[in-house]
Amino acid sequence: MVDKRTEKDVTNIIEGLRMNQDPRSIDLLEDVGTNSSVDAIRELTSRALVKKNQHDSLKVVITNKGKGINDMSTVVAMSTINELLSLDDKTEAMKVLEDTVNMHSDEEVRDNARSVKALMALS
Amino acid sequence: MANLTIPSIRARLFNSSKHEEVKSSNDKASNPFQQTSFKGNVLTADVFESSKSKDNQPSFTGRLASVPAKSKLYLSAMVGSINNFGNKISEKFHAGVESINEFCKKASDKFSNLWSTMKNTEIKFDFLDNIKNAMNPGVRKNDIGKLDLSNDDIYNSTKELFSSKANAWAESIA
Repeated sequence: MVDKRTEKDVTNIIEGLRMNQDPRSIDLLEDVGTNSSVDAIRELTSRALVKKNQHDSLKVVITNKGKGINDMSTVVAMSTINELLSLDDKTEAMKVLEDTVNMHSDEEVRDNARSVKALMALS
Repeated sequence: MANLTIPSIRARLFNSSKHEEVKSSNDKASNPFQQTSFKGNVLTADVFESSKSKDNQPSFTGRLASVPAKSKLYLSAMVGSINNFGNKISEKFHAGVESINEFCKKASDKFSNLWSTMKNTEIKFDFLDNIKNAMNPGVRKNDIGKLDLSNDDIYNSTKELFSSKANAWAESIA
């Protein structure tokens, strides 16, 4: 059972990095958050990166295998897709998805991006 | 023709007939203690009768002499029930004493167990840690949001903090 204090601290760090406008906050989230062994931390980080709604942050959760919408955990992947669908401005996300579908080397990543793009187009 | 004069009736009432004497002696032969046995029997009205004068003797029953014979039967039944009641009171008293003894024994055992448990228990003041945690504001998201991450020192210290907290979470569920 995770300590409540630890859980709250991690949540506040991720949320604080989401609010931080410095581009290096994305590096921090990617380096520590998306590489964590804890599903909950990866989920929180992926959602924070999507909420940033910046090209670099969206690239992390869309184009990287094993992260964001391509995460091995269904909960993390679905949660990221939900966050993408909840965006008010989907322009940047659609652009990243389009680039991934057209240019990514991994077929599985391309397929995932295509599915999410179709969902976003319908939403 | 029956003799209904008062002397003859009195003689009939207070002197048993031959048949009654024979019956009485047979009953005595089968149970010699029947007359003295009190338990389980309703006493006959004669138990309240005395050969001596009632006026000269202190009597528990008081004015029983003036009580009609039928009422005496009820009173004799009451004496029998008082006897039973006494036995029951005695039994309950003994049962009560035994239950008190049992309770004292159990209480003594429990206190002994409690004492040995207390001696072998290490008391930890967890609540002090909880209070300390509650007083500690921890990491604030607004502070993280305002950090200048272009500064390498700040960036590295933030990364170290994030890593340590994430590792603590991972270790707690491992």
